[in-house]
Amino acid sequence: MFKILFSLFLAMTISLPTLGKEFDLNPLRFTNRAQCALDSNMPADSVFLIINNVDPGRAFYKLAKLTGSDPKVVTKNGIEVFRYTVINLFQIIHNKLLNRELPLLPSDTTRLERHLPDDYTKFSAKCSGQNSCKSMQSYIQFLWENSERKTSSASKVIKNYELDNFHSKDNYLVEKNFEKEGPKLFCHYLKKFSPLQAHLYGTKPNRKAYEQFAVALDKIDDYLGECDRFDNHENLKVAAYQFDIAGVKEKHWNELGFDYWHSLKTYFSWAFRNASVVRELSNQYYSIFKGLEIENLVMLMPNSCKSIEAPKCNSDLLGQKAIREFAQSDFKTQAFDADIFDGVPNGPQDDLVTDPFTEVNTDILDLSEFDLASQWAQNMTSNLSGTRNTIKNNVVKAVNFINIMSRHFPLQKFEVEFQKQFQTILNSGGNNAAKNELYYLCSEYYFLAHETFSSVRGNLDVLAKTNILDEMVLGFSQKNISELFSYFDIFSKQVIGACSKLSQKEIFDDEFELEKAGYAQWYLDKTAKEKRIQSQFKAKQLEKLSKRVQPLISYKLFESYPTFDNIVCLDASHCARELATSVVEIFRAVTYASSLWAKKDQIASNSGFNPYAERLACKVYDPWFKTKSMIFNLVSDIGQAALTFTTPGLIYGRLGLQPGRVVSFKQLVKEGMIEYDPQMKPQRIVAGLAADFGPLLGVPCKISIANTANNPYENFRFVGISAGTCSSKEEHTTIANSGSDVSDLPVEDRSACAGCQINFEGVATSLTHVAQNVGPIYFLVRGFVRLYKALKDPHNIPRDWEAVPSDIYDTYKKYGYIPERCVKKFRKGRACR
Amino acid sequence: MSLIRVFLFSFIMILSHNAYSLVFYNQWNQSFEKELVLDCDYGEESICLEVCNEERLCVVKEEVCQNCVANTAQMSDVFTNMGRTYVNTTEIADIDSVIDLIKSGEFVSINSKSLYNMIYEFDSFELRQNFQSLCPVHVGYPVVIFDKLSNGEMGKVRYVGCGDTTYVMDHNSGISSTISELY
Repeated sequence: MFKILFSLFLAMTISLPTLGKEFDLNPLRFTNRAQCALDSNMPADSVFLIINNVDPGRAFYKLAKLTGSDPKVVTKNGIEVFRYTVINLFQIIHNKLLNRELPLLPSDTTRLERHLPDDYTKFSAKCSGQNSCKSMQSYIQFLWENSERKTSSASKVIKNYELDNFHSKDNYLVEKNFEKEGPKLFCHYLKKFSPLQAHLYGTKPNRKAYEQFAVALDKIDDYLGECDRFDNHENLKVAAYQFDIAGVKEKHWNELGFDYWHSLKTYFSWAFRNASVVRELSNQYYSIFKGLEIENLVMLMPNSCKSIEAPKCNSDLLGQKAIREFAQSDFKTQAFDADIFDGVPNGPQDDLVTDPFTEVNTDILDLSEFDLASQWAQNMTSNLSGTRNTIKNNVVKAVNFINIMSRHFPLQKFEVEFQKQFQTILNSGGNNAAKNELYYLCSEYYFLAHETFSSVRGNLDVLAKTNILDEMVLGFSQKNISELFSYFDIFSKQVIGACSKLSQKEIFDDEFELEKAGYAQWYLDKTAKEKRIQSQFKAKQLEKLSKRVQPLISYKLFESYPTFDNIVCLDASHCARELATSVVEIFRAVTYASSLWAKKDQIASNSGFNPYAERLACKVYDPWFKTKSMIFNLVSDIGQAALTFTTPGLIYGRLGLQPGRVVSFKQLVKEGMIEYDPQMKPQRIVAGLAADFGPLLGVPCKISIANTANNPYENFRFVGISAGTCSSKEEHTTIANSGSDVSDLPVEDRSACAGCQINFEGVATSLTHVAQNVGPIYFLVRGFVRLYKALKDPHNIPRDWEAVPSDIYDTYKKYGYIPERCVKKFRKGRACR
Repeated sequence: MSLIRVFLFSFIMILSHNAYSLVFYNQWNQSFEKELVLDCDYGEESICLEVCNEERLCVVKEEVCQNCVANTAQMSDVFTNMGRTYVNTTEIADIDSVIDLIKSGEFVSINSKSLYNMIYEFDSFELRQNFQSLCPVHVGYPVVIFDKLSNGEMGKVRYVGCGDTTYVMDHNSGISSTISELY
């Protein structure tokens, strides 16, 4: 007996040498458009971590120069230590969260369903919009120091409870202490994108896709590397990693995953500058690391349609649209057309209206355009930081300009200066150049600030009230955004007032010739973008300089170096027009601030792969719309059929139907509980209906009968099915398992459905007799066909499919290929051996 | 008589020099730590004695300021507008205030070779010129000192060290306007 068992064991071991191979990768989740939209409300369990080393690299290079060290050696070593520190800190914080050493910080302090620690809620509100907030910093420091104590995690939980009433259940990701077999964090260095990220390239996987996935797993070392080995990091500018979190209970994760990410980002930002562990990790580079703006160097991006932050329709979420543009391989050549560089940008929300049904899961971030993952990440981060720097430099210039203007150009002096400059024109004279200057001034201000004619004034008013730029960028400015806009607002009234008083018909007479190139670039871009006219604004001001030596406002340097660069502004119109340009630049930065800068106290994150996160949150896209409209069509068509007494083919139920029973339509026919045509046998009915009725045949639905309390009739007329098909592993096997009107059902393949009802109403026997004998079944069939087609919509009925790495790999190794019969199983997340 | 006059004038100059002069420069040591060095060989020994209890040289550790090794708006502003909106008021600084600031450690010092500069090339000629324009006499690498805020970030500009003379600096004050003159 023992021998037999031993031989069996040996045979199994030999025949299945690779069974159960683990890849430290989470299963891939493929989704179509509607499901991707819904997934945005779920916390990501697989993320890319992108580390931008450019600024640290520059610092290490200079450090070497300043200390007489070898720049190449110090730069390379510094970058490696930086990456090592970031990755390790990420893992340390993860372990502290999973080990109940650090509590979860609530991502939403307005929620009601879970406990909120009082002090955290209070400090969050107090610190919102502040550049830095000492009370929150001290609070995080206390939690961190508690986590470092040499004591049991249970004692730390108690201490955290004492500090701010952190609840053991609501404020920790795991219910009991961390176990080795429990939650895990897998880290991989991303060498190349491959079928291991196939869910970002396509929706429903077929046999070929699974096979490519298996082949990629077989050569996994070509695509993924170890996180802590730096000899394979060929790119010194940017590195990309993949982190997969496994082993947390799904229910827990879905409830607390957003708190996890919020906590990780917040603790990371604090710990990188303050935790002693970072001093140990970063070695001699510690002092440099402390000076880095870490929030803008590290970026988290979900490796799926799921999210890191719970989507809300706000500027943070809308701003993520820009990251998708930065990821495009041709961004540099197409940047001219990007809204962010438009004369006066429309804002990221514009995309939602102009392109509501955008592409998703079709390699929308151009992963396949680059040989190496680091090249892709470098393209994205360099486009992001390049754009950020351009806009930042313009904002610095603009803010300084308005600060100087508001200090040295009193508002009441504008009209006097205006009249002085345009005196000859106002006296019915003046040359064409002067008239042009006046024309530019008035049109630019009409466009920006006229109460009736301006198309952007409303936006300026709204953005003037935001403190987003103050928080992220403008720590150095003497005035905040609101004050800067306020100065412009009053100044613009002076300009528009002066322009309105002009006898325009006399000044801009038939002889007047407008030279468009003299407009500011922003105005040309906005009003004549297609012509791509290069502005001559600066050149025209320079022409004036030769005639007028003393500028209205200048830097002191002008006295020694009388160059244009040392002039603030020459005359009234130049000052006013520079002010308008400055406001446009600040408007651009405010509009796109959350796309470009991370929040002050959290490392950056976005939902780059899911453009439906914002479409769903802002209610531009409704993933249930198609389902709802489909059901409406079915019911209305069947309703017509039912109301037309001359229409045959109505489906009737017999008296034996039990309201509330959950059963499939197919089953009812089989049991003879419903009739379609008395001439047909149940089997034939099922076969005949399959074509039209399709997926609903097998759907378990609750039987609903109207007027059941006192039903005078023996027969029931079928009046429709209401079903909410949501997520199915496989077409034609939809299972309903949620919704108040459906009882619990086996959910082995974890499909989900909002609810399903087969509706009947009582009818007189005589009526059923009449209907059964008449004509074709036009309306009913039409309804079924439409339903069937709607259910086959590949995009707008939520669907998802899976790919479990070890299962697919095992099958591939066993057969040398993926058998077609396995595809359905794989899609459901099952093994096939 | 004239000889006595020259002697007296020189004596007064030395006295005033000793009373107000302070030479400082910044450096990075081999452990990659930032330091501000006070050189009392050219100045007043009592200053070094007060700061670090040494006679000739004080090496003051300077912690890197938060978000200073970064291409932020503030750092851009500092490096692109040094000499333009960040200007020397030509007022000689009260040496006690300078010493107090250095002793507190709540300062940030930069020059044109600063590691914090993410805008220009290392030791760029243009940036060096901008910094040099702060001083009335030629100084190779004038050191500009800022306050450090309580959150560790760079604060308001305070002084510039031009060799052995320290001046008070200001932001956005070096502006000439002809508006009020005209009306």
